[in-house]
Amino acid sequence: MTEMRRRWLIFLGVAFVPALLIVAPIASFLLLSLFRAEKNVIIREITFGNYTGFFGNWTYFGTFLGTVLLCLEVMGVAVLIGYPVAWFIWQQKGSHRYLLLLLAVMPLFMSYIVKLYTLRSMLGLNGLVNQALLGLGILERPSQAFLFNQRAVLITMVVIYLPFVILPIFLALERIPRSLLQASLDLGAGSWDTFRRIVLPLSLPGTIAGALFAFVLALGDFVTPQMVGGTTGFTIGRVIYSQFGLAYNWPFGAAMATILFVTALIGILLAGYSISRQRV
Amino acid sequence: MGLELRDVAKRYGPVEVLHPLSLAVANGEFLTLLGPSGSGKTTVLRLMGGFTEASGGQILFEGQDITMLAANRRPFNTVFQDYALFPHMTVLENAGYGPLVQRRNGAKTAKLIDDTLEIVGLSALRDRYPAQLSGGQKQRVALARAIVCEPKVILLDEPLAALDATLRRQMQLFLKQIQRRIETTFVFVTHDQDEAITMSDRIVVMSQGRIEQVGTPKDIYFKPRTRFVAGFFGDNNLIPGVLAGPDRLQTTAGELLCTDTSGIRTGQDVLLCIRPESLKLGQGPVTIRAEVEEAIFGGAMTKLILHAVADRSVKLDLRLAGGQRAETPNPGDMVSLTYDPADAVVVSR
Repeated sequence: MTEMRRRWLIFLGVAFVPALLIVAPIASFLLLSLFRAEKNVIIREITFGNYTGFFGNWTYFGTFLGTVLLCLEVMGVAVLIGYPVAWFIWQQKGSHRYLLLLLAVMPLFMSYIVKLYTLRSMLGLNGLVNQALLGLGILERPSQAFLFNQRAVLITMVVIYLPFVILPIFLALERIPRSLLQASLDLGAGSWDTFRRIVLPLSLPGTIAGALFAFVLALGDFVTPQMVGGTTGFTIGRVIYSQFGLAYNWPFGAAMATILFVTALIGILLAGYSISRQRV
Repeated sequence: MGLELRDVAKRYGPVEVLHPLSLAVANGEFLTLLGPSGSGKTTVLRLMGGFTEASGGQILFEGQDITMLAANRRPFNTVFQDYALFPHMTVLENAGYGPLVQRRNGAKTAKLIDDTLEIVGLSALRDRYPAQLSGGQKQRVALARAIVCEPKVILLDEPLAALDATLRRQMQLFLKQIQRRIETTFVFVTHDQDEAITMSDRIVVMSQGRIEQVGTPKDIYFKPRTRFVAGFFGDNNLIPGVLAGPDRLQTTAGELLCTDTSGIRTGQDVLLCIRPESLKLGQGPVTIRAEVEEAIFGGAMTKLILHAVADRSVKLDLRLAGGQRAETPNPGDMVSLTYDPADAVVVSR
């Protein structure tokens, strides 16, 4: 057996599992999205009707744009909260910081559904948020503004995806050699200059990675909007779900899933490009 | 005036890494802190730089107490062991970082940065990133970055440790030239004796958190004052004995002479130190009979390893000048050795 053939065999052996579990389902979705459904029967004729139907109908396309916007908001808020938290943990000394880090990522070990129900009860009429605001005298009576709307989806997603943002930012901060901070100080920089010119640029790749996690995970999440979104918190994930689960229009659902997939892919490529431009 | 440490100490909990020590660095001096790892030399440098807080004592600069001054407020700059270059900035941006954060700008500063890059030979590489530079080039950037701040003192923490031998020698010479040119005080930390001897105006030898000896390279090399210093530089002949008179020693290899016995009392146990290059073949005021064990040809020098006839445990080491027709004794030969008593020194055992 030649060296070349052996390499090919090894490559095929390694590539087989990802091909079966990732590439094949995506390919089948792509194919499915080019068919059409008539009275719950899938007709195997190639057509772009699903795609033109999607972009031509504002109900769908508008929901899609709204979802992307929502996910960008989730990403932004999660980074704005996650970065200071990661920075604070990074500033701690000794075993203290790893304990804090563990606490920050602890929610990752809990069931997604449990977290959702917990948040739902916290945001509800008699929930912790309302009770706290009542107690502080900010509200006169419990507000329904926190649950079963778009804002509730935003809050819940941020809370759930925060650990995914904190972790890569912390790791990026952790990778900055202490001597760089000392050098910056040594050269006369105060802590704000050191943060702005050294810490922030060097932790940017980790921050982009964290932001990407939040964006992509939020984009694919259809359970959170279902659980806390009510009628206004309608996202494209829910629409896709209904095409498969309720309307039985699988080709149309597949077309929307493909569009969502491409959107996530664009996000990943953009993030990858901006990270590769960093000289870290 | 310059930089002065007064009874400065450093403790980490119960561990005393630096016993109270005092040291004065003159302006424009090239001072080397030399010692094995764990001797406290880097701690001294970090105390000077303001990266470590002293547990006791005072640090003064030009008579001003700077013990509590933060690193960014001291007129010193450090060249770090791992260079600590900012990876996301070009050579030019790295070199200009000090003026940038000190809000010094304008044509004068730009020219200063240009000139400094010129001095360290990096003008052509100004737009490169640290990852695109060799070790020696990174070293130069780190130095340029410090020089641009026009510090009164530049602190260098084993800056050549990561370089290979050839580059290291080049950089030693280069550092020395730069130091003369910019007339700035350099405090240099190293564990390499040769490096210390070649570069320094004065050397501070440290061991186990204490200063062993401070002196010029010649002093340290030829006139060690402690047993540690005597054994630290290369192969030294150390002959144990007892001081019998002001300049006489009783040793197992016979009675030996030494002019310099300052600080040692008669009757004290001592080591007589004679540099291998101070020992000669032949007769003289003092003569040691010895047997040749090995003669190792080393090009410019031939190294002889011998032991005293009177006591085989007294090992001796001497250097003969080379040359194609030089006569060298063979192993097993009996020879007479002599030295000038003024070239020897005793340290307490």
